[in-house]
Amino acid sequence: MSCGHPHEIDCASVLDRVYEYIDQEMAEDDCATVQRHLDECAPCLAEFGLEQAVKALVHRSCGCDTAPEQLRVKVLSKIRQVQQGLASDAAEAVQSG
Amino acid sequence: MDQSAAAADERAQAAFARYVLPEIEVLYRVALSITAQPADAEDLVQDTLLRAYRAVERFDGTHARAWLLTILRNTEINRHRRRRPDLLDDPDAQLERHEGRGPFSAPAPGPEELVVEQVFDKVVDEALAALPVKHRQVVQLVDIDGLTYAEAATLLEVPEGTVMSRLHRARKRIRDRLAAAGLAPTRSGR
Repeated sequence: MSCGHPHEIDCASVLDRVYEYIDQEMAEDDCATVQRHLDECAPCLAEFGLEQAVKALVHRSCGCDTAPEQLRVKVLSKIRQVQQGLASDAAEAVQSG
Repeated sequence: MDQSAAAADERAQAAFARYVLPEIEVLYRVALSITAQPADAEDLVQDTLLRAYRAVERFDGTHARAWLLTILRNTEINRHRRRRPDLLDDPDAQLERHEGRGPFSAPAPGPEELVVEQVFDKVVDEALAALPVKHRQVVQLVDIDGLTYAEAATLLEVPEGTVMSRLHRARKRIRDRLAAAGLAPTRSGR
């Protein structure tokens, strides 16, 4: 899979790192090199587009789970309980000490 | 409560609000990816956040998400130490060697995009469900929960290279499924 033109880096090297690119895990310099390649090379661009589309599909298929609204409230109320427990422990320690 | 304890409390609350509360949404989705049950996910997040609260004064303020993911992981292990013998198995061995090779087929066309989308979603759901659990987890953590490779590696306590290879295999499987359903081309050159 290649457009047949010479590139700064070859198609195989670019395609090997497609996931790092679409997952934004690539260093800035490498990213720019890949971008230049994609600007010149239609087959690689199509391949990257497909992988991006699959990632987007997966994200959409179950990306709508959000934390229940009550979760934050429950956590904060438990933390208040912990605080009160610590405060009464401290008070007892003062009294007995 | 004396003044110094009250001041410590205030510091803990401020640190908790600053570093921990903004991560609740991500932690919940990660917990859901790990436990697969909303009730378990909620419990796991609550336990994690309580531990985080107790430890927040010792937290140095850098990489809050990674710190919280480590706590979440340890919390989950403690919760299910006996129920999770599969933590050490090798999921890669479960994957059959299925190399999808074939000509490019056009993505499904059609004016009824909604129907097409539903078909896509169904195939992706089925593809995810068919993955070995550890491969599915990695896809969920990275693609759905938005974790970096490093964060997913911290959570799963595996090297980043393992995250990448599981992700690679899982996505290939999903693409193969889409291709088999006539919804996406397979990669021919790798």
